[in-house]
Amino acid sequence: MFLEYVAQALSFTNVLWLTIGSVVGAILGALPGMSADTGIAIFLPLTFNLEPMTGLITLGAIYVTASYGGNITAVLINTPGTSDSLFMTLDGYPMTVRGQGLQAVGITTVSAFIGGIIGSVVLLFIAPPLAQIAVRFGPLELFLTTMMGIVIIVGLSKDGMLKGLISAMLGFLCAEIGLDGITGMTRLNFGINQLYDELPLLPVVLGMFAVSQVMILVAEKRKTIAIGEEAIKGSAIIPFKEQMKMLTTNVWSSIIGTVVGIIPGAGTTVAAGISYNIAKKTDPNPDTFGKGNKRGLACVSAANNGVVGGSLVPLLTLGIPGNGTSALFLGGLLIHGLAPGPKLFSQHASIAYGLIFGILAANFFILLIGMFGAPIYAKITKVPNSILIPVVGAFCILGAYTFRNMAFDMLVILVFGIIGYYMTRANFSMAPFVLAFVLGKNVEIQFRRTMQLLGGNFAETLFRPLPMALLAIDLIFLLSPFWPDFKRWLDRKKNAQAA
Amino acid sequence: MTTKPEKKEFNYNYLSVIFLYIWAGAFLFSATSIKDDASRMFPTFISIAAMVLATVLLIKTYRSKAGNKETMDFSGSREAVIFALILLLYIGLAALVGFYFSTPVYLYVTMYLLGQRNHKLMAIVAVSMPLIIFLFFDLLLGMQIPMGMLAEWI
Repeated sequence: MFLEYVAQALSFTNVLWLTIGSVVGAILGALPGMSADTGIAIFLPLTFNLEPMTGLITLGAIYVTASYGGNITAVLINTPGTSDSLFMTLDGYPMTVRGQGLQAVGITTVSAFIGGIIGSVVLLFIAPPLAQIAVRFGPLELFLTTMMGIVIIVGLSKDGMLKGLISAMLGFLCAEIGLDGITGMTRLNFGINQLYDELPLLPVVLGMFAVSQVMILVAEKRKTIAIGEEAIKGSAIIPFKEQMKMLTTNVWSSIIGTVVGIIPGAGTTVAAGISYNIAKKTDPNPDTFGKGNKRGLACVSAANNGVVGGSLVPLLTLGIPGNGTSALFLGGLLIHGLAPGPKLFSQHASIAYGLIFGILAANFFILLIGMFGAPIYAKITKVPNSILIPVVGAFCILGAYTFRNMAFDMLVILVFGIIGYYMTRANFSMAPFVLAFVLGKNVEIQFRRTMQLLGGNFAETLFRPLPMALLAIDLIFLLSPFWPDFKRWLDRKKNAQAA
Repeated sequence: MTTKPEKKEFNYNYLSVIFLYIWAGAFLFSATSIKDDASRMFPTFISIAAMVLATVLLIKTYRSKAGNKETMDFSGSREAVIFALILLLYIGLAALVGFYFSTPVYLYVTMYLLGQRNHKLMAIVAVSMPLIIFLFFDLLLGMQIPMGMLAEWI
């Protein structure tokens, strides 16, 4: 029966649209201002006239390759195409600056491929039973899970934890603007009608990362992005031996990404944060993280693309989107008259499995785009800054506008670009800000629901295995950066007592 | 012969603290107008937490010894601010006359200010970018490109 579904999924029409979706997705993901959300939103009406399977495969291909496409610009020009790729800049861009841009693209390509394949296989075989676990996540568990991502990123900036915390607080404040997630009343919009709903996500993230980066390039007055004449050395094809060295990292990061993707609201930033933290702690040279560590780059890329498959698990089995992008997928299903849930796999099995095989196949396009497109993408770093800066700036401004078709958002991107520039120069990490901004509203909703539950029944709500385990994990991530200092203090005390 | 006193480097953390007090203070003030208690709680808590952390930063900065001062590089900020102003003008122009007319102007001017002197290349970039946007995003994908207020009046 599976072979029948595979044959249907890989018909000529489906492969053609799979190719179109993959190429478009990679381009959109790479362009600052565009994203998987943009691509899926644009293609939704275009899929009206297509067969349901073809339409969904196209949307799936965009989702897969857009998640990867953002990695390329994050690695090569320190400008994540999407907020999902912000962790890429930590180790990817330093590699480019060292003249290893092609290698970095190669690493992220292979890792994204492995992450995508594992996520798709999980989606295929383990979707229904895994979704049962996610159903047990109540408000407290969701609150602790989303806090995990923020705690991790603050903990990563150990030497500047105070500034990391401040950055996170400011991100939380910005997330509060607009509609209250529970009462539906507008608040904190300072009388600005365009902020009635919320501070728009894409212009804020683009401003903080892309526009601020462009401003930094202007300030640095370098002729090209890469330092030195031979900016791009080596090949995007990673030697087999080196791939094997990173295989374990890729596999467990993919699993983390897939599992986190299943949890509604968690998303790529949490998955990337968790796998990055683990990779750093298990690495023999943790100080090299943030300075071009290959494992650091690989784990994030694998986790990011693992989320793609994971996020579709609760959507296809329970009708609960795993993240914003899969919520758009829900629109795609409904447009074609398909209801997500158990019936999707019984009454429309060919479409459901066809979509999954299509997503599996789209991951092979990541390899093609990465291996053959990498030298082309890498040449971006040789383009003079006097041309690259204005072009990227224009794309950012256009991208901000297309998010809500509002001229106001073009101002938002500029304001946050200036804020991001200042924060970078003043040694405030932007990652906690963006993470808190992305997750903030959800954190508050889950927190308030938790308070209502705790008010009713404190012991029964809090003292259960799952919340206690999540709380322990949060505390471990928050306090673990101080463990070496604590150990040193203990040793000094022991030595003093011995003396 | 007297020696000139060494110029004390400005510690931008003080400026950051001021910005933080203003930012968090604005939110705290706005939160007081929220009628629902539960809705007011979170932003109030976060604003106060931000101000407390800003105060900690202020104290830490004041007490930091000369050898342990943080290094912050704001060189080139004048050029960065000029670029931000150009972007602001570009946004205004795009809102007025639309993306297709404002972008070539913005691209050409910005490339020139950034030191590009190959006028042929500048012209190619200035013209081809809006064309690519039109063909790919507007025609093929049907995305809405800002046409400006003048287009609406016409």
